[in-house]
Amino acid sequence: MKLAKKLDIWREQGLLNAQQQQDILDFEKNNKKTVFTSSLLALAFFCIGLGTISLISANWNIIPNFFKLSMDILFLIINSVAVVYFYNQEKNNWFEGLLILYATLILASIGLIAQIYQVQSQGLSAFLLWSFLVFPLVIISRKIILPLIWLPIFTTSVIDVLAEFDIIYNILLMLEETFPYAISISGIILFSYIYRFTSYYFRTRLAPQIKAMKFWLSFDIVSLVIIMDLGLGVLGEYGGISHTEDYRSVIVISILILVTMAFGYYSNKYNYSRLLTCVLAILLGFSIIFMALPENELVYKLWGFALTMSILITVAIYALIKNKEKLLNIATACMAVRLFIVYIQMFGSLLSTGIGLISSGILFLSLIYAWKKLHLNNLLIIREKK
Amino acid sequence: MKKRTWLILSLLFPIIFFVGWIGYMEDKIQHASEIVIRAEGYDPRNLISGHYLSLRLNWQETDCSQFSDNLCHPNRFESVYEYYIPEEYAQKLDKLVQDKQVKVDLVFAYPSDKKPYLKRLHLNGIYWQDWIKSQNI
Repeated sequence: MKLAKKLDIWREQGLLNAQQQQDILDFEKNNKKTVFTSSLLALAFFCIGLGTISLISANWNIIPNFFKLSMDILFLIINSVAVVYFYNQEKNNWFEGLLILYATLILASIGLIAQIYQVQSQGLSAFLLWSFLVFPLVIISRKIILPLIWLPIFTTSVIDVLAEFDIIYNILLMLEETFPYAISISGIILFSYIYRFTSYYFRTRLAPQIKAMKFWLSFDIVSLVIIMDLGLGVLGEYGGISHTEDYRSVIVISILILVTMAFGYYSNKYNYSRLLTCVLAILLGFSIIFMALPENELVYKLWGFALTMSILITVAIYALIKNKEKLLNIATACMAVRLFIVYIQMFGSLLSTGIGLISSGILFLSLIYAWKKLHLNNLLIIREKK
Repeated sequence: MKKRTWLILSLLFPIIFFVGWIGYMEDKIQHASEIVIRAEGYDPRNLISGHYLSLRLNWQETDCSQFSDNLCHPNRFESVYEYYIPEEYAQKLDKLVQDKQVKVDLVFAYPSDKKPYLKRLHLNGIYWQDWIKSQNI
């Protein structure tokens, strides 16, 4: 609901007078965040940076190498001076935009030096080098954009480079052979630990960086759930699922369970991330259950459906307890979509899908009726107060 | 440490790194002996092929007497090298190399204790830019 409408209702209810209402509206108007301009500025600098990389990639023959390198260093120095200038002036949008330009210029410089000296790249090592050089700037950044760009580039390149080492490669191989998507689940558990550690100790100092981590963690989980749900069905059709059942699998599963339980224990102790704990437990639990399933396409599809619905129900309960209306609506809408998909998956024909959906709708209406009759909302409010 | 100092150090760090890197590469090139290794076209089938030449070393046609012990040392080299050239020539040269219409040599700086470093590309025995001029491409 819009603020003005909300204030009208509050005034009608006698919660505030006309003067207070006007004061609140004036305050909100004057302190409106310039999200549009700051985002556009960041985008502009990002485009200029990418354009510079593209120009350098064209590898102009007419310009001598020494001149190209000198100009590159000069650009970096000018950009640095501008960043410090806008930092001192406290012009946050310009500061952040130039920081993004500087980060893209660093990537361009790596490309330029690699071209001039014919440096041979090993996988994504150039991006890993970029991540290390930009890392201090990511820590300084006051907005979410640079950390948001940096995180996936760093993660992908570090995995790519680490996988070159035999020990890491063998660990990844062992995980892959244990159960489908074990690598992704382990990665998400590790990421959850890093996220929680950072947000516990640096909550105020690294707020935008933590926000970026939260975004990518949520994105990873959502992507994995979708891939596990719909992907396993596809894999099952082609008979591409394999997992080993030897002592190594037992060790891997035991470690993953212990690590998830430890995460849950600390979450409970310090009263944070209960939702994340539940999601991790569901992902791991369903993966373990999967190992016991018979090889059957229909069973895999039902398993995927149950996994997604379990996650969505958990999110909906969390949203209900925490009074997060938007999240509750999103979770409910996703549940409706997934229900529709399962009917198509299971029944196929529109007639049976229609009958199934109407029955489900009636079931949900009965649930709402029962919910109201049993006054379960009060139960949740009491729990929240506790 | 004050935030401003941290910011200045963070901004200086990449510049110092790049200057050091360039200095290191220059030093490596200036003080190492040169060796020439025969190469042939190699099609990597990747998305940005056509922006550089992908070349595989051909040790059968390489003169091993250039090495101090008269023996070739392929294990000190990569098997495939990418040579960056301006985009206006990249595709034409790529086709000539793939079709084996020119003899390709790679000139390396060969330091005794470090990895060999790719310096130049020769086509039919001359620097590729001079060869292009002579052919009016």
